[in-house]
Amino acid sequence: MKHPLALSFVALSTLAGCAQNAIFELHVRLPARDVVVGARFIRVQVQPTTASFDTSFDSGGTSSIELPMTASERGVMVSVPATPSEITSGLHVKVLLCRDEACTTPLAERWYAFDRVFYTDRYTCFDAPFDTDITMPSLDEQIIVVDNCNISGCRNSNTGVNNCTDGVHDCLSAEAIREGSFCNMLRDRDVP
Amino acid sequence: MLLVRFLVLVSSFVLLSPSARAQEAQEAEVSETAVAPPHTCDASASPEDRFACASAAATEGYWDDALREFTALYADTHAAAALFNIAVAYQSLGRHLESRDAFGRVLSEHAADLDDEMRSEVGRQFGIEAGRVARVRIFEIPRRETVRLRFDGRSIGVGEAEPTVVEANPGAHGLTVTEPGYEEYAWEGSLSDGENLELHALLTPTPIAPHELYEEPAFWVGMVLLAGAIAGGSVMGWWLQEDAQLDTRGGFVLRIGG
Repeated sequence: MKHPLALSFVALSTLAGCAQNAIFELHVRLPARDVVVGARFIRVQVQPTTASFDTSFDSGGTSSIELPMTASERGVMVSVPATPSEITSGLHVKVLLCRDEACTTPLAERWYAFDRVFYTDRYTCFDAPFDTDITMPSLDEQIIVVDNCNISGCRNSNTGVNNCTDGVHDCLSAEAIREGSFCNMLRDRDVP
Repeated sequence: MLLVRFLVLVSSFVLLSPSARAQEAQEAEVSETAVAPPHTCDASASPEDRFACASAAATEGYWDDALREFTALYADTHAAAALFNIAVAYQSLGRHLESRDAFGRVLSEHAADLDDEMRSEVGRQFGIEAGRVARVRIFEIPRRETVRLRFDGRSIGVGEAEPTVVEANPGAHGLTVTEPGYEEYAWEGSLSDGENLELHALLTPTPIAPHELYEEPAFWVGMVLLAGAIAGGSVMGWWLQEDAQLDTRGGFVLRIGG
């Protein structure tokens, strides 16, 4: 009867060792209020890549958030957790410039397409600027495809780019760390 | 004196020769209903008197008494005739294995005491008795230290040679080969004069019958422990897994498709 107990102990030890989920932190730089006339809110929405940008992301629930714009530019960190089944799925993000919280008719949009942002037991991040001269471009131009290597995390770095070695993301290397310094820096900078 | 003793011993030797025993046995059977006291000879008497006493027991068919007295006498005198009569007593008791060995010792240890005629007779008797010894040849006994071979309850070494051979007197016998974790091999039967029996004592692992397992208190104790370990492990595993998951670090949280 010692074996089942020992196996349980080993299994528990293994379970306690590392997380099975992942966190992607999207750093959104909010422009100052009225960067576009009448703009008061920024709406951020996330969907899996199976959702086309051409469709509405207004599914309600917790996939959308409205952030009030202030008199000056500021940044906010939006955390997107992924369950183990969502790790390898990509991410579509819409950032909308809105007149009000309901955001029935966005003044402008930025669409980000991420092929992969999640890595098991790792914090990753991306610094998404919002152009101050934002207009309403055509659909094709709106989609900003973010290269995987521009997703930061898993190593200590001062920049948010070149997070790959020989084409392989640092989060997949044996030296990957759970929290990279760049993501921590972004988050700390947003603390008032 | 030595010459006189030798002559006496030789006369007894002839007296108790196997050819004369049949008649003596018949005479003994006639009076078997009578309860006679055991023949006990005076150990302090002269060898000649002790020899005569033992011979009388044999003559009357009290072979156990005769064997005991001749054995004691041989221990004291080391006389060939005493050893010969020990062999004859064994023979009469149907103990051919011991009889053969005793005749063999007469030939090997007392060759100088025997004339040609007696040597020939002892050799003949040795051959007869050797032919009456039964042999059990046991094949396939595993050569492991934990294997135990018992014949008539007596432990016997397995040895290196294959097969293991056990010699026995004719009659009923029992043999077992045991080893922890294996089913016992057992044989019981009767061996006839000079029989050569072959046995194959291949041991098979003991199967654990389910009903026997359920009857073991240790089984249920183990099951309770196992169930407890699984339940506790599951709860603790869930708790540890939850505890190990990455947490969002402040700010705003969005769920994919949430």
